[in-house]
Amino acid sequence: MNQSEYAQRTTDAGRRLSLLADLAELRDLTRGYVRRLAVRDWSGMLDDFTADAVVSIREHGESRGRAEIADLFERMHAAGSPPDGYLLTSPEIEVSGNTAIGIWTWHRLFSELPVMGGALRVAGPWWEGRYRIGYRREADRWRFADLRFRLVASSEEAA
Amino acid sequence: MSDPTSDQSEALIRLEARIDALESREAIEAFHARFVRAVADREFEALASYFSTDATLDMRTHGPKSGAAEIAAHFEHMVTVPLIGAGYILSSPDITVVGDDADGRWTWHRLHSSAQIGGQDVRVWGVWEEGRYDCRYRRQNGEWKFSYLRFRMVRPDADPEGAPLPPRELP
Repeated sequence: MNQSEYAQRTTDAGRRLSLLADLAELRDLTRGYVRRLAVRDWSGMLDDFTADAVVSIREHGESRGRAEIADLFERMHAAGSPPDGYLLTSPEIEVSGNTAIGIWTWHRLFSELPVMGGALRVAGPWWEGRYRIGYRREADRWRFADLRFRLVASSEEAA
Repeated sequence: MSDPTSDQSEALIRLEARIDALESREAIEAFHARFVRAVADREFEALASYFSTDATLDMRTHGPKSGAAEIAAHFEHMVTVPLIGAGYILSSPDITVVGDDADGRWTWHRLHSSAQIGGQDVRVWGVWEEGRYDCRYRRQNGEWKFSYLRFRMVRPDADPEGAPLPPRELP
């Protein structure tokens, strides 16, 4: 191996390692988001989104920019904090320079059923959903630029 | 700048091999996740394309199917299976990459939401199944595909073991 080839292959190895690090960072970003969403911990959540991010969660419509996204989280928070379980699995992430697209499968395992004046403990009901997320790399880190979520089972929502 | 020493060249070659193994694991995990999502979404016409042309598919009690035609026929028959509204969870990947070949074991869960009772779909919660994927993958033209896929339900009611995964043919 001569000096020129060595330099080229070293640069290439660095680029490939950087891409693997991006994938790890994007997985952590998304898992952290869902974990904090599950416990309704909004602190710092907005910083996970670019200033011009778009969020579209189920029937809530599109929220554009951090102010509208904050409003969306507030409305979701007002809906209560049931002790449900959340699984985020099967990431499929494609990085292209400073942007990336990720597809994830999500499950929510219910533990309560709302009844008049309270909640009834019940095990068994679940939902499956899909995230399709556009990420953008900014100066300091990756952020969500376009986050879309829909239920697909056990009942299906419109895309 | 002078040419690298043999130690430097060998260290770079070892690093490249480790990077390739990590990239392959990433690619295989995304590939298998995409496959299971396609099954969940009942995209049966696309499923045969996930297999190499000489692959074997060994699903539960159906017996091994080898080659593109047999595998495509297997998935065509799945169109008639009325299971809908189920959730699928793929977890715990254990992937070993050796060059352009890889072995993988996964845990799979299916969450049911309905059952057929007297010809009617009845809402039923809490019913689940656990399965195990034991797979071989092969990289061809830079793309990973299944070269052998074996799937068995293991809990709460286990499928018969049937044929084990055949021993790997070493080059």
